[in-house]
Amino acid sequence: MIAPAPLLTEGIRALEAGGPLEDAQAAREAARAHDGDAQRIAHRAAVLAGRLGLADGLARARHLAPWVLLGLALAVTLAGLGLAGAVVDPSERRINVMAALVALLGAHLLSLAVWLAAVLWPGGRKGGSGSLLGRLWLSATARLALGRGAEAAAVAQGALALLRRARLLTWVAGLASHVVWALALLAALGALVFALSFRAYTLGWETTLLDPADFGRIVQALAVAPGWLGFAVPDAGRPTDRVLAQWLLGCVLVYGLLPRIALALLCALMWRLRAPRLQPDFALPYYRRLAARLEALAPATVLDPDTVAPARPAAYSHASGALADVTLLTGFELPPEQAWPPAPLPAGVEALAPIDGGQAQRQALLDALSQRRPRRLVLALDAGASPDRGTERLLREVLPLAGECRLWLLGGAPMTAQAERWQRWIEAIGLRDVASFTDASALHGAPVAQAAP
Amino acid sequence: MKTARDDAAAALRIAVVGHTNAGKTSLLRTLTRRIDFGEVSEQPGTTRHVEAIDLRIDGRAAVRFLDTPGLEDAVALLAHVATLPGGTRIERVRQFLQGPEARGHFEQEAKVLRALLDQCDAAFVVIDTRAPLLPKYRDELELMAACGRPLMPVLNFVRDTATRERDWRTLLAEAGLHAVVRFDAAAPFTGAERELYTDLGTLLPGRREALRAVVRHLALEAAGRRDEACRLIAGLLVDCAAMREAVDATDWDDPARRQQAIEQLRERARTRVQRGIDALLALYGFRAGDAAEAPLPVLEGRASMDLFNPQTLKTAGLHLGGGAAVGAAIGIVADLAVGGASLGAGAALGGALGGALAQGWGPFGRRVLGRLRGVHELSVEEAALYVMAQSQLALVLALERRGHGALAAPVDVAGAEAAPPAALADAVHATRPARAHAEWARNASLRERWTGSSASGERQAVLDEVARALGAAAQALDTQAS
Repeated sequence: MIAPAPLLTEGIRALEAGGPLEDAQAAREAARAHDGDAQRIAHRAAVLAGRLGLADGLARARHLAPWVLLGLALAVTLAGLGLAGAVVDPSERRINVMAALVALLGAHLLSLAVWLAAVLWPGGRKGGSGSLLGRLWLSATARLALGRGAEAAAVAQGALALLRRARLLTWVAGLASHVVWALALLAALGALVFALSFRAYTLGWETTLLDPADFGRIVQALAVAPGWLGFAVPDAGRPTDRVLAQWLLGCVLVYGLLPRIALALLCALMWRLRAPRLQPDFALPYYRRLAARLEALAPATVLDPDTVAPARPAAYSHASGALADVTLLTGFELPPEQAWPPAPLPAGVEALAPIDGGQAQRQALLDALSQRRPRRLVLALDAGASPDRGTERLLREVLPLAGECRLWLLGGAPMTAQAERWQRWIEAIGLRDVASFTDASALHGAPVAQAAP
Repeated sequence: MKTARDDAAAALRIAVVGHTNAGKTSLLRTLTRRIDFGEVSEQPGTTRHVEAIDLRIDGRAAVRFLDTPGLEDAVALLAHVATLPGGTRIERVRQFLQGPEARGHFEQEAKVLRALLDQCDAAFVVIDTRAPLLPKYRDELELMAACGRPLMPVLNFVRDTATRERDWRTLLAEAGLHAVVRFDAAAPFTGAERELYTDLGTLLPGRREALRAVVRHLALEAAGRRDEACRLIAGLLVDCAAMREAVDATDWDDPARRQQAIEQLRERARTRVQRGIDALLALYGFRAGDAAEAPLPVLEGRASMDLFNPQTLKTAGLHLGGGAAVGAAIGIVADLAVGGASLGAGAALGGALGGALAQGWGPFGRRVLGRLRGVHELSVEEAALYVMAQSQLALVLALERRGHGALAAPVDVAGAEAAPPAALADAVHATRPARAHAEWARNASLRERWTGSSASGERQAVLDEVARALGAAAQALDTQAS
């Protein structure tokens, strides 16, 4: 039988055609367990199948499959025996050999022709659809092992998809059909041998419509192949009952049993050869999408881990001692189009030239501050800029040089996302008493209310 | 994990570097189509370690991207590096990496420089073009250049009104970086990705063949995704075309009950449409909930827009041509109710006649039987299918143009109205055979399908035809957009 992993994978795909399954746990597990896409997908399918009971059902199905085949053979045999019985007239013990041959081999030859046509013209349907018996076998097994629900259908559908893809469906279905027919013909042959051995029958042929001489020629022509195996060839005139009985047995053996056995062996050989091809088509969009999703769940490879201890709010102090009673305003990393000063300044506020953040201008600012020692320093920043450690460093450098420090976020309205981001950042780096504001009126006066969250 | 390491050795390694919050992780999400990679936030220093993420081709890592922390204090670092002993810039950088500051104040920057020096073949320098040209950015470029790797500046947010792209280009040219790629991580330009890899080839002549393979793979992947998207929409249209709601004659005569039945069918169609939207989102690597967090105009206004809005339906009906808009624009067709005794009127409206003829007497007989029993059957009008096809196609185009960086501005998509009506009408007309197969709309068809019955082959054929027409419509939209 098909290996369980590809079968479950395809079965899950069939189930998910109706909508995705909940797979958070399974997907995470699969992404962690394997490195390759195929293994991950198979792992996920196995986990999901376990949850849905598909795996157990599949094990049951493997166990049941031969028995279902035997049951089918039994049914066909019974039908065959019934046919064999029908050709024997029990009251007169007469057997019409031609009618008997047609009854015994007719259905068999017809189904054989259909199967051969499927093998010879595989293009008719993509990958072939398999014979009726083969289909019956698969569906009955799935039904018996998994019940009537969507799961059984999904597994059966998965099996069919795999077999089609490996171009094995015709051969597997053929194997089932040939085995069943071989068993049935064997039983019929046995019954015939038994009957002809221990009872006296009158064998002959009769016809109303056709020329009896033609019949004789047909009988002789059909006897050629059995003749190679040592069966007597009846003469055209009046062959004895014994010769005709041998002829009948020879025909059933050569045109019935032996071809079926040979073809069953051929199918088994094809199965051996192509079984490794029974793999899902991972190029399908479904699998590609799944692979991408599982890949995304795989833990990222960290090459250079973060070893910095969680932010430790460094101690800082404000300037103390004699401070000049002045508010100094300067800008830091402002865009070039920013007007300076940004707003008319109230009395007591003095604007210094803004600095661009370069090393030289930073140093110049620090020099100026250490000379002036202002009571308050207001640093104007672009609210839209991203806070960074360069800004933090400047803040930590100017804090000891002024009595108080405030940030003026230019271009941001109060409580906008941008202003809030700056405020959160200030708190995160531990500079709690550095207030930020967006409105020029807060330049002067009491500690700013906006600083409060 | 042996294979992973082997892959990494063969893969082209590209470090993604830049100032904090320039959009490095967003760029990577878009390039690798992994919406959940890393962490994107407005706060600085969100990425604090160097993380590898692979772009896989046929299961093999073709490009290994390194997501690095942002540079935050380049000014001080450059000043520090300048004080270190060493004859050349690169020697001084190595000196810094061995020194104590590389594990202290400048740990974040050290990781970037280490990745640049030893772990990559080239680097994408992500630049937020909205930022003014400040000394810190110049210092960053100088530090990165000191590592001696080919640098490819990637200009981000070039679509923003505040972009200073021209200034940045000048600055980059002064720094000796002439090859520049515009790539908006949130809303990449069509073909931007292709350009990115092609231009990278000029910096890395030795890897040009590998990069060409990446471009080829991306094109194939995009075509495959588009194909699959058309198939998903086709599935939706066919399912909706096949939907039926049987109504008793007595219920039919009662306006309230009739309305209820109509509403029931509409609800079924809406549910199916929602499922289609979710499937499309998943196909393009978005989570179902992302619609809210990543605004898409199609989803914002239009999804809530009623499929069965009379005005929309009327317009759609006009595009479909013929008297298809004759129905009272309720979006629902009653097969038998319309003409009373006449079978033809309702059937022609729903396009079911074509289906009935194609399907032989089966569905026709069913309908006659229904009529004898006094049962009316409601189905979804073609104009409603047209509206569905239109909005879903617009969604696909929006998704194709949208990056995976969260926190993105909405994307401006060529309006769905621009979709050529003829191609869409073709797609809608192609669903007609489905009207004869109510069972196609049912989920229970799984069992019927696995038997491989001819019916499923027929459904497939209809799906193929609808998908083909949708593909043509999408193609026409593409040429319109470019």
